[in-house]
Amino acid sequence: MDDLRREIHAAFEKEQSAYPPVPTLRPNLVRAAAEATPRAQRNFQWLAVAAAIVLAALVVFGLMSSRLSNRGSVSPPKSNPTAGPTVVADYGPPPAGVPLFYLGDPNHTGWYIGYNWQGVPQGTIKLSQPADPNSYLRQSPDGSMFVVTPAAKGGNGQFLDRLLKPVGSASVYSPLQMWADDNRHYCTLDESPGQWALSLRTPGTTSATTHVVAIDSQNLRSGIIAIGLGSCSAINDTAVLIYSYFPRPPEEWVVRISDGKIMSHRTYDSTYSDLVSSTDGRLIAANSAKSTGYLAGATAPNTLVIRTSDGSTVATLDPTYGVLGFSADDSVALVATSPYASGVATHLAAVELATGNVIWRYDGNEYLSGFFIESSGAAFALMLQQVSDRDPHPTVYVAMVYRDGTSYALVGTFLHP
Amino acid sequence: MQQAAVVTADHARQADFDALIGPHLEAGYRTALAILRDPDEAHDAVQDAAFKAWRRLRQLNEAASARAWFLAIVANQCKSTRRGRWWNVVRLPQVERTGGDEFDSNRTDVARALAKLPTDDRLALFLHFYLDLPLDEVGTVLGLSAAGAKTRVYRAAKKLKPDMEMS
Repeated sequence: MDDLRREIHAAFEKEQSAYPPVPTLRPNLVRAAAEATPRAQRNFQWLAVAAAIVLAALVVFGLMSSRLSNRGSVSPPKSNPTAGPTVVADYGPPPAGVPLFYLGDPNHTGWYIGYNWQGVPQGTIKLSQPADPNSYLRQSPDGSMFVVTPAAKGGNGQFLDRLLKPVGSASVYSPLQMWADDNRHYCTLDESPGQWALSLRTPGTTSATTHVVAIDSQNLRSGIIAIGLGSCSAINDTAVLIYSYFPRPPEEWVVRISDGKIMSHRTYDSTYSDLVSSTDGRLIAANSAKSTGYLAGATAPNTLVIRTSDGSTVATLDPTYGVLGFSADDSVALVATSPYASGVATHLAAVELATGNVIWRYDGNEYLSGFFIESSGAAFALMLQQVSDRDPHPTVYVAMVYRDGTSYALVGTFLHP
Repeated sequence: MQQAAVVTADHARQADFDALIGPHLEAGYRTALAILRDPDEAHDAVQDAAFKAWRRLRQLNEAASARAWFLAIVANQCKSTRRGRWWNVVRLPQVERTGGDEFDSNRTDVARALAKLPTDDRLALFLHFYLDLPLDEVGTVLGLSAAGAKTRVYRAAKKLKPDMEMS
């Protein structure tokens, strides 16, 4: 037991030594906590109830403030006339071949409602046993496959088909994995000593195409490791690997999945905070450090959107914009216009890349809990939650945002799946 | 005059907070890092936990339990953070990668096994074997009894080394 204790301690020590706390952690946090908290701390339950009502109204108001700012006019919200009321029923099995996104049914544990991209409920799927509260249902881009992530209490996760029936029994756990854009595969990135292996795998089987990627990076050699998968496009035979550990210089590798060959490698300077790539791997955003609210050093004058094939600049955005994702057709970027941080409201915009125009804006009081990208098109479905909601599966409102800048909220609330 | 009194009270509270929670902020960061395995998210999580601890400071009656009390807040914050940004792709927390020159196969095996443990198992081992928390404090952080914490630590260790004998 003592040997194991030493080994465990050593393993944690190796992790911890790579990311030591900053020397000023204590004074910084004590001061921040003191300054960020209102002096008066009164606990009126009625106030909480009233606040909940007001927040609900603010969400509606926030969505109503969607603007077509390039026209300088306010875009009136439209209700969704075909959307049903909040999750009142079992909508039955979802249709095959229709791209859907799934939201948790707040009234039935383990049920998920599939919506099409017109915001209409199409079906209900049900887990045979409710998932552990700390695990999540992650859908493939079109909602035709799922994986339940490993639960806090154990297990390796499980792939599920479109009706939530288990697919195979092979272990799925890999620290770095991502659905492929063909909805039939997923990518994993695994490290064996000194080598990085990129694999394209088939859910529920041990079938895999694996190749070593010859990553040679000063950052990786330094022991400060923060590499991940940015994109996994089986359709384009391309994966994008990203190194982001601000304030170290971010790096990007575009890799051919079928043979592991690095097609391009770029290192950005440390005035950029992080990189975000498109689903197809064709675009990458280098977010200015200014988008994170960073004040302590130099920040890039713009957030850039770059074409991975030749490095050409597709769009030059305001440096306070942090790209969160791209539409599937690469025509629109979803950006945070205020620093995207836990516990504060997220201000958002949709930017048309061809013109740089903001086609939609959200300046409400909610936090972006997550979003779906229409698998073939240019729409987003945004999940917005109350900042104070700390549940692993918080209650969310869902805003649909389309290519022309129109938006509306789905009726009712849901659970983050 | 009233303003001065408020400022004085704030300073006193800040001093109390620093005295009670300050010594545990580094352990909080390290705990967050062990759970999230992402330094940026760990910083955010421990800061959020500090905010919550400040607001709830009156709930802390015994200084002796301050460490476990604060680490429990950190652990809960991290569980919320694990949800993280939600994309239409599978995106799991990043894992620390060994990048040093030396290579110890035994340690690497343990490190790999640790990386694949469920969060609560990993947390139990971290608290007990790395931060050297006694089992009753491990239990406080995990929301278990001391006996439950011992069982959790044992089971987690068994997952690392199935052939291990527990004394």
